[in-house]
Amino acid sequence: MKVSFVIPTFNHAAWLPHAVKSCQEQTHKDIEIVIIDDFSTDTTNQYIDWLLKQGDTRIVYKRNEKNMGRSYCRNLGNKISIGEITCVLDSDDVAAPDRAILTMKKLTKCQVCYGSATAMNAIGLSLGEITARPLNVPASLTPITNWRDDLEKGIVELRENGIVHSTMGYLRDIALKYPYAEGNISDLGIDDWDQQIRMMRDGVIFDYIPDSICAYRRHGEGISQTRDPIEVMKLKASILEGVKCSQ
Amino acid sequence: MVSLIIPVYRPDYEVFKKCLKSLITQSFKEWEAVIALDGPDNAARIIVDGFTDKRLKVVEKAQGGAPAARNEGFKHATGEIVWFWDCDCVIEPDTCMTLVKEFDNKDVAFVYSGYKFLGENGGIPAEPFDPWTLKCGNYISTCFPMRKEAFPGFDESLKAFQDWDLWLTIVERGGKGLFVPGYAFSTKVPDAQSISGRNFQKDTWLDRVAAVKNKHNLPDRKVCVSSQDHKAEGIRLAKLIDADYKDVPNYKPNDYDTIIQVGFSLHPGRIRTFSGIFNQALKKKIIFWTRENIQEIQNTISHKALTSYTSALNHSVVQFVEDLYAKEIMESAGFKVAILPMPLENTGDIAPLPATPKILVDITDDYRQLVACLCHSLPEIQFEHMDENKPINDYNAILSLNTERTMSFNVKRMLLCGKNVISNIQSPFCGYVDVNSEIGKYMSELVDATRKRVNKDTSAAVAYYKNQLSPNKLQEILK
Repeated sequence: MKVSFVIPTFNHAAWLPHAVKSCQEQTHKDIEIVIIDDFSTDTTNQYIDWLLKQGDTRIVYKRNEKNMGRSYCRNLGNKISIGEITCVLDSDDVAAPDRAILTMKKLTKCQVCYGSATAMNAIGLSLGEITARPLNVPASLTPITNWRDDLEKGIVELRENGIVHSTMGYLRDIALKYPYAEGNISDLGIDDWDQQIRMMRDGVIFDYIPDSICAYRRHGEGISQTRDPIEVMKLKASILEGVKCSQ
Repeated sequence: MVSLIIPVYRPDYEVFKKCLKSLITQSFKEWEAVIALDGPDNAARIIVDGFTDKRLKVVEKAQGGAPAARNEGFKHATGEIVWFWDCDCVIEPDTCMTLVKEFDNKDVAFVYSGYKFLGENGGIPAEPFDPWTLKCGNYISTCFPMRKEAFPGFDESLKAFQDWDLWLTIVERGGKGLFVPGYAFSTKVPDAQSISGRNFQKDTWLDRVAAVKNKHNLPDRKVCVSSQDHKAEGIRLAKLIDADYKDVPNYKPNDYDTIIQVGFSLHPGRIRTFSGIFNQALKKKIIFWTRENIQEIQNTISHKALTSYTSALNHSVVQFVEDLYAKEIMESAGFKVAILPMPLENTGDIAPLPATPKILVDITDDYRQLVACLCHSLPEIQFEHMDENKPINDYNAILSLNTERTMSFNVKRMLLCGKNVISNIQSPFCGYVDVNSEIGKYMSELVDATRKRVNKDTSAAVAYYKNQLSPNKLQEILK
């Protein structure tokens, strides 16, 4: 069974090679590595030129004509990938060698899965484990009425679903049915969360892999470090309001 | 067969006994000893006879000094290796075995090591064989083996330094020496009256040095470069500006008028070995502060010590550092310094950069993890750790990250050879990347900088550094 790793990237010349290598070194060999370059202006091109000359036919590469945002790239990647299973991988993260195998096994019992992850710093030193837990679907779908209080109490994390996006895997048809939202949702980096909320609303079956299947890089330029938390909460509140109405 | 030739003149008989005993108990057995009595000496004969060892032969001549006695002894030597020995030297049990084995190499005319003093710790280390440094001063004791056919005879007309003269003559005739690290033997601490002793008159000493220099047409240089921690760089600099090189310039009498010290430690336990710089008789004194010195000043030298040295050094010594960052640190510690990169010879030909990019890595420990990550970020580039023996032309660039952020010899050498530099050094063409920014940002910048620089044209950099690193500026200062 073919597993597609979809890697959108923008100006991550320093990290992308780590991500690609982690896919190439999967214990499961029937994979494809779909790289969507969102018009990078750093030295990503030079790396890609080299990579394409290495003769690994599992590499699929597309470059946008202009910067389109990460949701566009993820949707494009999901669309052009051909594997029955799609694994999400951000270009600054690294997949564990048995990620494809574990995801394949898990998806015989569910439609979407996620797993534990290891946080690492910019140069790959471990910062500890982020353990995957069962989803609390009702809580996730409860509208946020008092987000300003939540923010003050520092419980923003409760609204994160606890899923490290770079650990997610789904059956291809699910990926196509739930495209990531573009625009503001994408720019604030809650496109993944938004997608999960819609899946939960529709009763898509989630399950998790207890093992660490991805190393997640925390560095100063990640969107989660730079975005405005108030804007994020406002947007999340309005999304959940919408979900409630449609239920 | 090895022939040991031992001149004997008024020996300390107890030590003489030990000397012979140490020979007889050597692990190496194929030797003879020619004991050359420099004037009659019955007590010595009795000691030799006492050993009843047929390998010990005694010859006697009228008293006429050690060189003559050695030449006389040589006439009786039958071995293909001759080894001039002293009656107050005690050899280590395996020395013969270790040194004689080296003559299997046909290129070798003589073999040497360092030696110790009886009853004292440590000793006089020798140094790797280099005909150029041998011309600046002797570092090889008489008591080492050579091929019989290489031996030119001791010059009996010289009043001193026959050992230096001996090795110079052998080397001038094309003989090569081989240095074996370690200590070969122990000798009695020299008497105060002897040439090796401490009370020797400066003028007499200089006359006798001059005699050897004249005989061998050695230049009488007035400038001496010296270094404790950067010997190779010191020698390189000395050759470049045609100066002498000595590890410690004021250890023996000399008539230099200028000292250039490469590296200068203010550490209380070490400052004495550098104190030659304070000699009032010197016309000019120059210090090149190295990155290690600067770090030492920042981290380990007390404020009080600094204050006493800054005034002394600022008053009489011209002090240089290699770049702006080093200058700022030294100035904040109170030193009056100017920027002058230590000159470097221009190695000439510049080869084109290799098509498959390869980078030499020269980093301090704190960057190890970062560079390990960097190697994975740049899979199209090969990284290899710095090693002096690797041919520079195999590489496109050097990655130099060091805590002191200062220009190193390796970086200069690469620049002159037309290689690219990626570093945290704030000098022109050094591919500076700001080490103080957030690590993720720094990492990204480093990856991009490395990719962009690895195959860059370097002709402008070469032209700039040929000028910067030429010895002209230093020679101007020396005038």
